[in-house]
Amino acid sequence: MAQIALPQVIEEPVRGSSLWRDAAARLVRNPAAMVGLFLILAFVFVAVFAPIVAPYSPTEGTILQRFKPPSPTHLLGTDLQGRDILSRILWGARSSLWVAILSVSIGLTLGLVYGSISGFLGGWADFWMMRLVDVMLSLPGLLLTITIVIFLGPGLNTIAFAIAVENVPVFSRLVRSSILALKETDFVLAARSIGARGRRILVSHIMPNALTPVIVQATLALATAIVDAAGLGYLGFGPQDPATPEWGTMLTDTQRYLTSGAAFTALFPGIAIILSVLGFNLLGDGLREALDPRLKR
Amino acid sequence: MTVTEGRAEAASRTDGDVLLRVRDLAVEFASSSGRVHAVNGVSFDLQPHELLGVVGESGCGKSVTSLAILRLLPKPSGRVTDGQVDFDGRDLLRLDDDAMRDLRGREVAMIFQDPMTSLNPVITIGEQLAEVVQAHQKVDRREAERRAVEMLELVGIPNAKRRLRDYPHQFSGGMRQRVMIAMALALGPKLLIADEPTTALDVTIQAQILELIQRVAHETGAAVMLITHDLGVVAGMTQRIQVMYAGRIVETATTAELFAHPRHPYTVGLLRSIPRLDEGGSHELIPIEGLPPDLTRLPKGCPFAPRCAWAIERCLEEDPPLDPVRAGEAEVLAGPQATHRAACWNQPTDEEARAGTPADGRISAVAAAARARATEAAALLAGDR
Repeated sequence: MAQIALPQVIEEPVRGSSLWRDAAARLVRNPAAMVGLFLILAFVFVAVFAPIVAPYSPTEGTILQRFKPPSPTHLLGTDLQGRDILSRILWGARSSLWVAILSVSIGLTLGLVYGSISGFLGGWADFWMMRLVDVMLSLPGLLLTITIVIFLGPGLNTIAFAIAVENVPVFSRLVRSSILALKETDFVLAARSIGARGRRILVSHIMPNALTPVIVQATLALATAIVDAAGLGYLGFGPQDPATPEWGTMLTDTQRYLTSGAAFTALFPGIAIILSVLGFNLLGDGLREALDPRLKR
Repeated sequence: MTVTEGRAEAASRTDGDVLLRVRDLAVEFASSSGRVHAVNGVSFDLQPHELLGVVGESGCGKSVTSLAILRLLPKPSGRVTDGQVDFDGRDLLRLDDDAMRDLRGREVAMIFQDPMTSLNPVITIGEQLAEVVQAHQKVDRREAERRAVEMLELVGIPNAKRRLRDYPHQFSGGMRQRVMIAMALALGPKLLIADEPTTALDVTIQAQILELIQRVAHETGAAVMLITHDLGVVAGMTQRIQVMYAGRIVETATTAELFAHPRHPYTVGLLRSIPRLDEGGSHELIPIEGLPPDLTRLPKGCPFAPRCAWAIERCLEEDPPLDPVRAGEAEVLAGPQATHRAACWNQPTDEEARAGTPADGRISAVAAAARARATEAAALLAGDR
């Protein structure tokens, strides 16, 4: 491509740059967003490197060591089976991250396709496609996910799928409304006036501009997915294999002992959930501000 | 295809010296308050290489006419209800969608009012320029880019090669309009529709852009339809002018003739409301009283009658046809010999046009009443604010 043909151009920084880079610069200047980003990076790091950073095995413990309060040997104490809570939280991050990423990518992809078809077609197709979305959105979210999990059986993947189903209408509606607004813009009219094909207009003129709110929503949806996954785990729909720690399941396991001096067993997984969700929410809000062109300068 | 080939092709494939023939075009918009009759029976011809100015105030149907020609009316609210558009031997209103798409940009191109919003903010200028070529021809990236550089150079953008990688917000308004012109003329279209191309620009840039359109159109051989609300803009640039009001053409003549001998009170009003340097001395600028008619229910008779100082009884009853101002003259619809035509029952004389009002004995009771109503309506509206 021409970047290769004209290498001298690349070194010369022209003033400003792309909108994306401007947005990144604004994001970096936002301290709350940076805290969010730090929390997310930490979360992703422990999820990826849990086998290395965890001091103990998350699955092995001796019953004699149960409910040990935090101490230098077990920084966050031990649970009812004497397993190291810190190690279980670190391993549990994997479950949460997996559910969050899987559910949001499925929900985002389907929602993007559905919403863009609806918005681009317009007319009756759009009308009925959006009524279906209304129906989906009118179902209580958690009930719908629970129903799906009941039918498909418990486990991380089914939880992710159920949360994705909940996300599809949200993304569909968002994408459609951006597309409707973008269809009326001057640059889309200008693109049509030079004879650009419909598909090309959708892919290169409408989609990149419609993605801004979608990115924000996706970040926030990651947070919701973590909460939902923990909720489903708490209700007993989490991974049935005890070798896969899950934050919500950790809460269930210990709830009966909360009042008998072992509150920390629930406290620490709870804090883990809060921090990861907070991270995505802070970053999401920061992105919303950074990507909003009206806030520019 | 280079620019000069485009011109040769344009010259060789004309239909009896008429490039664009519009007949009885009517456009409606669906709105909550009823159907808006935006264009009501517009007919005109355009010759190859001709520079035509279309003038009128906001909402008179000039932009809608051009969008209807290109079939770019907003869907589903806008609809062509009647008429015919022949371009270069093809009926544009009945052409299939794909042929129509291919014709846009390649044979008829358009420049829009606001260069700040007509370019996609997230795509580089180079990519947007290449898009024009790639929409119509099978060329590789590199060739498209080479052509983009050529286009930018044609419209006078310095450092063209380097600026391909820039984004629209790195260009000034005038530069962006140059880019739009480059895109529009890239494939050597036979017709360029420029819809208020200088309205959003600084006055100092306006003349440059107009001159550029004129020069580049001349080099590529494109006919130009310049749409504007500003008679000053078309004065120096066009060969012929059409004045539109309430979705119809009310007067048309060669530019020199129209400025020297306006025969429609609305044209007179437009001319009296802009400063003129060619007449010497000073004269008062006279605004046109009142507001354009409500296009959801057009009044009987001439649509301009309620605001017209020349209005007579007949104007309220009968809609005047667009006829030659010199009765019995043969009608030449386009080109340098175009007949001066006006749709008016009681045409102003040259003296009246210069004065901007009818001669003393000629103000009818109808006009006086209309004037009073218009002033009252304007006062009411001002009070509302």
